[in-house]
Amino acid sequence: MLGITKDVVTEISKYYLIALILLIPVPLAGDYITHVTILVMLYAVTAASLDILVGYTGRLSLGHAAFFAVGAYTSTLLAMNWGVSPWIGIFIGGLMASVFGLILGVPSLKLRGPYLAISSLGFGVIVWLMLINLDWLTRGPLGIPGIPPLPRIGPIDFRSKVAFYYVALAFTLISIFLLHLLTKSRIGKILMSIREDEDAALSVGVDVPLFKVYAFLIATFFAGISGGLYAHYLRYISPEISTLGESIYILSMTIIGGFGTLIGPVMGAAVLSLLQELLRSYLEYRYLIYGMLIILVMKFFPSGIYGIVQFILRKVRE
Amino acid sequence: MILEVEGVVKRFGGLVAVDDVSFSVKEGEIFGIIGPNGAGKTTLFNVITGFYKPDSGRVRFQGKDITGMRPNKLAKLGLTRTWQIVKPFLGMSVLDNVLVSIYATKGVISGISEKAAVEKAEEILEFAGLLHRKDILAEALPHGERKRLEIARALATEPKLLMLDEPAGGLTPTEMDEVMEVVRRVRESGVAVVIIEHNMRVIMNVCERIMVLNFGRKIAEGSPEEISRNEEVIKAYLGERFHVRS
Amino acid sequence: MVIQPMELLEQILFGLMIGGIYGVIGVGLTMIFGVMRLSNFAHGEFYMLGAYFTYTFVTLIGGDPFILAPLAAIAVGAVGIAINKLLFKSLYEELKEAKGAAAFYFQDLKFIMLTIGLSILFVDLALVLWGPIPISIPSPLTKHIIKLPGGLSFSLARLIAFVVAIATLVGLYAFLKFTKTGRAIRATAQNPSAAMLVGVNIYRIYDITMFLSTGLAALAGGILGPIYNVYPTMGLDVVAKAFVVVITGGMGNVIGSILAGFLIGLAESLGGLFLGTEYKQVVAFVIMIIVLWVRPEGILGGGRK
Repeated sequence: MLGITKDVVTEISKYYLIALILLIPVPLAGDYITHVTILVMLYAVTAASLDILVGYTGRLSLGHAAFFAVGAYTSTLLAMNWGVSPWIGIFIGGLMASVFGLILGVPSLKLRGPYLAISSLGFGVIVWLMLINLDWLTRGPLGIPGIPPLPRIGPIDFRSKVAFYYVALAFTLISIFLLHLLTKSRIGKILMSIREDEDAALSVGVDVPLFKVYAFLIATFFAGISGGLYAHYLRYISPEISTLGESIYILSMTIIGGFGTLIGPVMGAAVLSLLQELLRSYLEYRYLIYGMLIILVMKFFPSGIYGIVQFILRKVRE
Repeated sequence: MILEVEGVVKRFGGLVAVDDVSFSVKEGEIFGIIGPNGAGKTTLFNVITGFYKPDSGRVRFQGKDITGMRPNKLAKLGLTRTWQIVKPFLGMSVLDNVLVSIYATKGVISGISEKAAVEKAEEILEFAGLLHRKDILAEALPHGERKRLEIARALATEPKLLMLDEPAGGLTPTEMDEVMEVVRRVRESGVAVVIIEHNMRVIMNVCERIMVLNFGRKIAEGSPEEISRNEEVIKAYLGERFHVRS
Repeated sequence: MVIQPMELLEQILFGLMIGGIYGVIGVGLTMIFGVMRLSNFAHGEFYMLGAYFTYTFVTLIGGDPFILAPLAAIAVGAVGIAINKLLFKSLYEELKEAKGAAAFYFQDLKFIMLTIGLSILFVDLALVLWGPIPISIPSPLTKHIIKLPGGLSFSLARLIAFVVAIATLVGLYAFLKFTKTGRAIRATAQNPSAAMLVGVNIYRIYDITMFLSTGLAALAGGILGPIYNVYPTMGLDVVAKAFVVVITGGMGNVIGSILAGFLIGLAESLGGLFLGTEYKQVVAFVIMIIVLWVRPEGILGGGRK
């Protein structure tokens, strides 16, 4: 289907099996490591979903955190006001993020380059301001505490970090696997042709606007679901998760990781999150180092962490 | 008639780029459009292929009015163009470049099996003499091969009319012959071809009929023989000191 | 809700004053885009540096911030040139070699990421050098209150800030219009290769543009410093607004940015009055999104898609 052959599935699957085996024992390392890994995984899916837009379709977005936040708030409000089970609410949150994706995506179809970037930035800021100002719904800048956890299944209580970890792990591996298949599919190739040259794609019959909308729907859906999981994990959300800074953080994972590779952004999420944790002890110099690293990577390794890893692997093989 | 263009006008601000141009192309012929720089050839091309909307006039393809129709729709109907400055999907493999056309016209979700799509793409690459290059990135191809990839990618949409914008532009004589050989074989397979070309040798050798544009207007139409003797055409070209030699 | 005419007038005046400053910041950003075809996400940090440099000059040398702000602007402009030579120059060269639509997109991404990195770095640098606590640049002019008939009043500092902003915009316009360098800048913006053919050294033009752009942002920071608070993340709060101004005016369009500055300033002020202050911030972005979707070339056109 969609031009995905069995060979491709088998080839990709083995990496996910290895990842699964490596990640299963993580909770043995204690609560702190488990906690950090959960956040890394949620960010990894968000950054990978952004890569569908930024890396594959060539549509720069500076407002991706808004969709993460829409997912988080939707699921939270559904659970708290109408008692909707988070298992369903998280999914609806993903769909709601896609609806917001349409609202941003359709009118900005014709925009290119910096125009699209700024348009998405503005959209993100508007969502952030809405979350702050619609306080009858969102409780404003103070945020929403006391979000219900994922409902227990039999004896499993998802308030425990370990139990939630395995939910997040399953979600992450499945999401990234699906996105990975997408990039190898016909849709992936069509999206890449749009990135490479919109006019040329049009001239060979690609319905460019339609596929741009698909890219928006897919990317925002996965961001929304990650947001929902995030909300029911931390059980507290505030408009802070939708700021421009947060969007930039996600975008830097995608780009520093190596955009257009899908796995790069996953690496980006891991490296940048770990960096944040490691640099914690340097406190005020933290962002100085962080900013410097972004500049150095972009200047000397524009293909990102993924590129660096490939470079090292090639050297090792030689 | 496969293509009929009637009184097409295209203005940019005060400038009339294409001024009341009419012509038609028969099934299976190679039709050339020539003219000095800025004569409006590429603009006319963009109007026919749906990249610009004409200010007035109509375009019909196989008897159907296609004026202002979107380029991707036209490609699906069987009217496909190439670009003067080639636009290969540089970051994709040569095979994927051609596959995109097949998916886009045959259907992304269904319509053609993956095996059939790849076979077809390879057949077209073979035809364009690029099969041995199928797995490398398009950005690694030299200019002459990029031009042929451009044609291959257009052919993969199964056009009934192929519109080539300067297929020989910027090529060495050897590369030019290779491209022209492909064009001739395209015609043999029954596809009509419209060529814009600067290079007189190419156009005189390959076209059955030629239309000449100058300052957006059609100044002559006829066989290569007639065109080369036409006073007005000679004047238009001499005025610009056009390279009549190859 | 009843709105008093005086209240309305006051908001219009405030809107125009802040609009002038938006204009100064926006013009700098639009010039970078117009001449170098690049979007500088660190633009707000030059505004922030302008404020801190002015503050530092005031504490070190002593004197009024309104006199020292231009000095700070020149210093920040020099920082701008250094960054241009150190970080951006190689990008321009790569851009010249770039082939294919995607290559330009990738260069855009790279530049945006570089400037984001710069922005993060500068914010933290300011934090380390000047501390996280908001400061105010002392100026006696803020204590001079001008009273107008009808109960309107504002500080002399605001008036001076407005006058400096207008004078700067007029000066910049005259510079671009009538001087040889100004003409070279405009020629480069229109067509870099043609400009090179007629003997313009475009890398020098890029340096000058960077100097002007960062200097203008810094000047705005310096003259607002005595009126508002100065803090390390003040640039982040302003950069999005600056992009709003630039888009609304048409990217690369200097006059458009100036007009858009006033338009956004006014709209915010009046929006705050009519919709309540909590929606003041939204107004600017809604205007921008409408402009982008309806008329992406900007209110005056001329912007490049």
